[in-house]
Amino acid sequence: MTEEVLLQGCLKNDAYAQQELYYKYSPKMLSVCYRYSKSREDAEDMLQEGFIKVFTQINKYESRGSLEGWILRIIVHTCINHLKKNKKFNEHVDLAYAGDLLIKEDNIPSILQAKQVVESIRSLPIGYRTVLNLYAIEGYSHKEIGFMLEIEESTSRSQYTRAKNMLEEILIKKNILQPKKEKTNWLSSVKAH
Amino acid sequence: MKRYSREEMDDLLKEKSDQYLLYPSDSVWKNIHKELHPNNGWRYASIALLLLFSATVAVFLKKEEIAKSNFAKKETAYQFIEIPSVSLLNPQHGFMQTQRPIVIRYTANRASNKSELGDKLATTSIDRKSLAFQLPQSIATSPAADLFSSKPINTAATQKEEKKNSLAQTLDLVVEKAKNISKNISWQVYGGPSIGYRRLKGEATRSNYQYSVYSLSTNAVYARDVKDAVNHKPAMGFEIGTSMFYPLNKRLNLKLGVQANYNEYQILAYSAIPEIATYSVNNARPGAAPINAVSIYRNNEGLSPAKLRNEHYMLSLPIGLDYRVAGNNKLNFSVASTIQPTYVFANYSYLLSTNLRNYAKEPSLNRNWNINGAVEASLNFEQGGYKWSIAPQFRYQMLSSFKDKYPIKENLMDMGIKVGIIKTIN
Repeated sequence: MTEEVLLQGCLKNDAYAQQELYYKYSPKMLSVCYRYSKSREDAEDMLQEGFIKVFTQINKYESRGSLEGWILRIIVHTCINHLKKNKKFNEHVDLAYAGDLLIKEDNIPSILQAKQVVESIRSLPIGYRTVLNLYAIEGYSHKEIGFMLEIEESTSRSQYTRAKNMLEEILIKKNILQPKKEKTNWLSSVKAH
Repeated sequence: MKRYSREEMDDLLKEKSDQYLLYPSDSVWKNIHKELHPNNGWRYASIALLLLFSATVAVFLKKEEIAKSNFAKKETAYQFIEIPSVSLLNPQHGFMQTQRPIVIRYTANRASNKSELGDKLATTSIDRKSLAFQLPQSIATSPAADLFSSKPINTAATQKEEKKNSLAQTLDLVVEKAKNISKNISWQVYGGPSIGYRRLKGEATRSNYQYSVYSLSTNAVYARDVKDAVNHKPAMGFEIGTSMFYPLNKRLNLKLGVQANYNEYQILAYSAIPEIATYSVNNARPGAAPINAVSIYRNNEGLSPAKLRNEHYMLSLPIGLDYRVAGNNKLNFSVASTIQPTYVFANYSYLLSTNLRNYAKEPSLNRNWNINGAVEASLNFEQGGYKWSIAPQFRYQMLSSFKDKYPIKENLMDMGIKVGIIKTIN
């Protein structure tokens, strides 16, 4: 079934078309929700709420951008609203704290790296990971993020910088990212000779 | 595994996040579907049952009311007949009665609840003086006044007596009514063959706890929809039962009964070496292990073909309405519809694993209580001194044979012809 047919079916509130659309996009959207949430259950709640919005507001979709992009925006906004109910995004965490963060290991080789990256993102404090998700992965600007999270644009920038540094440390520890090269100056190279 | 440079970090995050897919549990779609398409079936069924119940209650109440008004009429008539004997107030009739006229007078006034004198008589003792004071002189001084020379009338005792009489009358009325009801009730004993089959709904599970996050569900090899994946055949079953018919009016009967059903359908499968059949369940917490059973039957390829039987033994309490469409007492045509709360006391079923590959028995997923609905059209006629009934019928199980957590839904159905013999109680 093509996307156009699915869309037409969903506009007619056809359950089969809705189910097909859901099966097509739910794995990706659940992984998005998972990056924002603190647990799998929360992620499924976000997904459910998001898809209900998708199906009830699908008449608002204008075929200018991709349907997937439109669904993704709704899902991301749903996640943000879900988080807003409970958390503040202005919280700061010391970089030193990053060393203590626990990352759950997974022994399935085929999924190890992707899962480790996602789990590393999820291990960041909520404010950091939300900004990082929105900026680095979803591609929102700091201005947009500031508006969405009701924080200053500068706060979004600083949160992102800190989040990235923290994540770098974690990914280096996980052997996914290459460690920093030690700086060498001309004097040390002369001494070596 | 590739190690990324720090400059590649942004790409790394995007790439790995896109690669990472998670499959939601089946309950998520179910909840979404429920929200978007609320099931009104139960609402309608509840309303229908409520209406049926209300109608039945209304009919009984109406009959009760009629009976009460008949009783009141009888009481009034009794007063009317006896009042001439209340000649206490009329010297022309003599004074043959003693205390009785007063009692009767009291009863009459209690019924009408209007007479002040009646109220007084009901609550006070009367002596000659007081009555003589109230009565005209001619009466008070007449020989009839000797009536009051005896002890004052104890109205409490007369009330007791009246209550006794009234209770006895009510009991008589109830007994009479019960006799009338039982005269109208007819009993039917019936039985007959049926063809059992099922309606299936469900898909190969996509729950991620059965597979790793990157593996796909089995629909690449097997059909995704359970209806397309299985090979089932109808089989013979039977039904026996007894029903009571109570007429609500000339055409409509209330129907109550007890019924036993045997339903069967066949599964064409293949025997195979023992392997694990996995039953992933709805609403399981993430990461929870699915239910596993050992299976020696495969849905598709295997060592040799095997025929399995899914059997259900059920006991039901049908309640519904029977409507005579046409005809007379000797020959008529009627239609009936019943709701049947059902207990499945034996369920020998093979369940399809949720990846649609294997069959195995998993009793923990069977549902014991269910509800069936049935419709029938019957031809009733008198032959050889008995009243017979022949009725093609369709019966459908409203809830799945399995518990809600099993993602595949099965609704049993039976089509059959039942033959019954009807007896009216005299």
